[in-house]
Amino acid sequence: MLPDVRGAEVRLRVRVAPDQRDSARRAAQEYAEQLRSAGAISVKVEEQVVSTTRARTPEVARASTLIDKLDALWLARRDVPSPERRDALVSKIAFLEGQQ
Amino acid sequence: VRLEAVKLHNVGPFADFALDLAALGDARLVAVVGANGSGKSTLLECAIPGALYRETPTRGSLTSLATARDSYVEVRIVNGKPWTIRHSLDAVSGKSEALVLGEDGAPAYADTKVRSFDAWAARTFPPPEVLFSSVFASQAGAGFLGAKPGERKAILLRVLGVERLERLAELARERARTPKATVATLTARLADERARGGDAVALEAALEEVRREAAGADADAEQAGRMFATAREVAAVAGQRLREYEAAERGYRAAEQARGEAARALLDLENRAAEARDVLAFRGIIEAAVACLPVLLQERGSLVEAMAEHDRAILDAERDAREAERDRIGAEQDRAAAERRALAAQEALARADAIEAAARCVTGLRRDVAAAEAEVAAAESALEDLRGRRVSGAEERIGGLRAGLAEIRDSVAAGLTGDQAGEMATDALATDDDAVRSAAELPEAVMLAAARVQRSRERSAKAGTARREAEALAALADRLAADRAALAEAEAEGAALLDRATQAARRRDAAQDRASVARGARADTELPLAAAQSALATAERTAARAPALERAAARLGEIEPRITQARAEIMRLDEVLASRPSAPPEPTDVAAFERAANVAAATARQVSQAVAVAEARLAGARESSERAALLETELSAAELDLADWTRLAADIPGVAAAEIDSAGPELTELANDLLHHGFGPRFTVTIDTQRLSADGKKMLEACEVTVTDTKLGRVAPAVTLSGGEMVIVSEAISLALTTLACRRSGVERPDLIRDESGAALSTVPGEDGVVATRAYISMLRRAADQIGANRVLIVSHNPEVWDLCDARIEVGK
Repeated sequence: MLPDVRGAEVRLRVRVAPDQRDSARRAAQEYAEQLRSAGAISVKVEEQVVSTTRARTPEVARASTLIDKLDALWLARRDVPSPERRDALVSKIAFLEGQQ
Repeated sequence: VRLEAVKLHNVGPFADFALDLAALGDARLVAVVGANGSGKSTLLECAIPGALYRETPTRGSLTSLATARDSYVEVRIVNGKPWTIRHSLDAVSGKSEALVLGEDGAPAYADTKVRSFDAWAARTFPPPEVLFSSVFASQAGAGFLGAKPGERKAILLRVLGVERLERLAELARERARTPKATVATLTARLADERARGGDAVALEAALEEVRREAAGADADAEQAGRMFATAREVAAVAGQRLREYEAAERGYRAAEQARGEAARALLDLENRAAEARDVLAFRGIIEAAVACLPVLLQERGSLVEAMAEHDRAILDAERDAREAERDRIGAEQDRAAAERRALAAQEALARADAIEAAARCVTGLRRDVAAAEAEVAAAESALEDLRGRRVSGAEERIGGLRAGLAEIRDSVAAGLTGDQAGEMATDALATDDDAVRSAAELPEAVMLAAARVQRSRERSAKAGTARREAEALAALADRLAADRAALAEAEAEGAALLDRATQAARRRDAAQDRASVARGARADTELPLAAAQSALATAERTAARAPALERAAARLGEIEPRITQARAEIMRLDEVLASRPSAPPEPTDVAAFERAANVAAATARQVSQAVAVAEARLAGARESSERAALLETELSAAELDLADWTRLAADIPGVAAAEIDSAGPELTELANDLLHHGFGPRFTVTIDTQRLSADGKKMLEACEVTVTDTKLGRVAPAVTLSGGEMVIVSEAISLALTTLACRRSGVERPDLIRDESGAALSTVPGEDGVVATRAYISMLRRAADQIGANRVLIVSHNPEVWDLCDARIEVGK
């Protein structure tokens, strides 16, 4: 179902992953032709590539303090220390940061 | 880093300059404007990097910008906390001092030395490369993309705080060394304590066992003592009986020895008597041998003489045969010499016919040679004649013609008519024509004559050769008679020598026959001679025993009475030996009982001592066990401490790796947001912070920037972009990096400085209708929002940029 584009100047923006650019370009051109056939004065296709890089453990980077980052890392690794050990680790981290 | 105020005194183009940015109010984008050389860049570079690092990115050191001895730069900066920094500069000496005051007016460090300032600044502010890649874009600076890959990676690690994490991990590793050493020490001490104390339960069981052994050993020692006393009483009775037995036994053994000696003496006497009897048994034979000995000697002498005669005959015959053979060989050698002479004479005589024929024809050949030489002389003469005619022919023609002309002249003078003169001339010419024809034929005649001379010479040479060969053969004719006589003589001598050789061969054969006959006779004599010699030897040996007959008879008369005496003595001793003393009772081994008693007593003492030792060890083990329990408690605490430090040393780098891993997508997202906001969808960047190692086994830290350009349809590294494209992408990444740094470090409201960083951008619309300058300002506003920036200070000469900003600082007015 095409929109009513009679007499319109159309800007068609396509957001696409880098590995699907060729097929997306063909589909966008076909759709632009359809829009022109439907009465558009002009159709300008703009391709916007969406980068797809992803982090493995973004929660570590999102955490603010070192102990929070370590908590996130341990959780991601399923290697969470016992509460007693965590308390000991927290005091040691405080010691280390005090040495900076 | 946020700049609140700056004062410059005698620095660069400024004599006295003061700027309080609080006066700008809420203006976020501020244009810094002024003519070239007015000091826009100097102001900003002195205010931030100069104040923080004492170095500017493009103007050199702060000291080098001082123009008087009392120059100074004073700034008020907020970086988490507000600081007032004043650098006093001496343009003459090039020295400087730095004073830093905190919010409360207290100095940040004890003195004003620049070394102290540098150390404080390194702890307080980001490194210069981070600053220049993010918040501070210097004039003509290449920014983040302009840095080398290694520098980009280092900047990224610093922005992410990875260096701090690495320092913390290193500290954790250092801290782990102490509990590790403690654990090792406690482990060693615990092992020592356990080894020293031993197992208390096992020691208790061992003590009980030793105690049981001690009770048994005491009972054994008491019984062994009783057995030793009984043995001593029994041994006293047995000693007396033993002494009696030993005396009887000594007498019996003496009788045994005497009987043995008597038996051996009897056996000797009987042997000697037997030998004497044996000698006497051969008395007849010996006497017969003595009688026939002379006959045998005579017979052997005859045979020996015959044998010598045979040997002489053999030697004579062999000598004759050798002499005959030598004679035959000599005759054969002489005959061979005679045959060689005869053969030589025959060879000489083989050419006799030819020699005699040559002698006969040599005279004729000499005549032939003379005739040939005469023919050669005649031909050569004819040839010389013809050659002479060739030379004189021309002169004769000229002479004839001249004579004809002279005759015509004379005739004309004498009144000869023209016709007559013509006839005379015709005659003269006819004569000359004959001479010409004759001259024309002459070369062929010369050639024929030369050929004849050649043929004559060849025939003469052949005749000469035949004559010389015949003469050489004829010279041999005189030797033919001597050769024939030598041949006859050699043949006669050969025949005589053949006869002589034949006779010598016959003599040799006859001598060899005689030698063969003599050898046969000698062989026939050898056997009887050997038999005679054998019989003679036997007879001589037998006859040699004749003197022994007398001695044997005398010895037998002496021995027989002694044999009778020896037999009687043996019978007496046999009677003595018939009854042997009875054996004594077995002696009691008192020493063995004594030794057994001593061993049992010693064993009892040892076991008693072992009980004491085991009791002491058990007590020590109980004390050691208590100490080991304390050590185990200490060790457990140290191991937990070590585990904590080890875990931090391993996991903090894991946090750093996660930070690096997360930075790529975050930077990518931030940069693309800025790019797409300002410049539309044309550029998309991808920033990878990790890459596979060359062997593909591990991930390495990196900072690779790839740009997708949808307008040109290309995907390429950012360094391949054009100048203007590079500005757009580099600025987007620098601003994204600033955002990331602020997020990671918690810094709030920094100032962004852009010193003509957008100067390369176009001010007119492009194909896509985008005005790059406006898009850039839009991107800066977006970045300021993302970062939460306090202000963006933009140095620009572009009035359109001024208009797009919220406020303006004019430098140089």
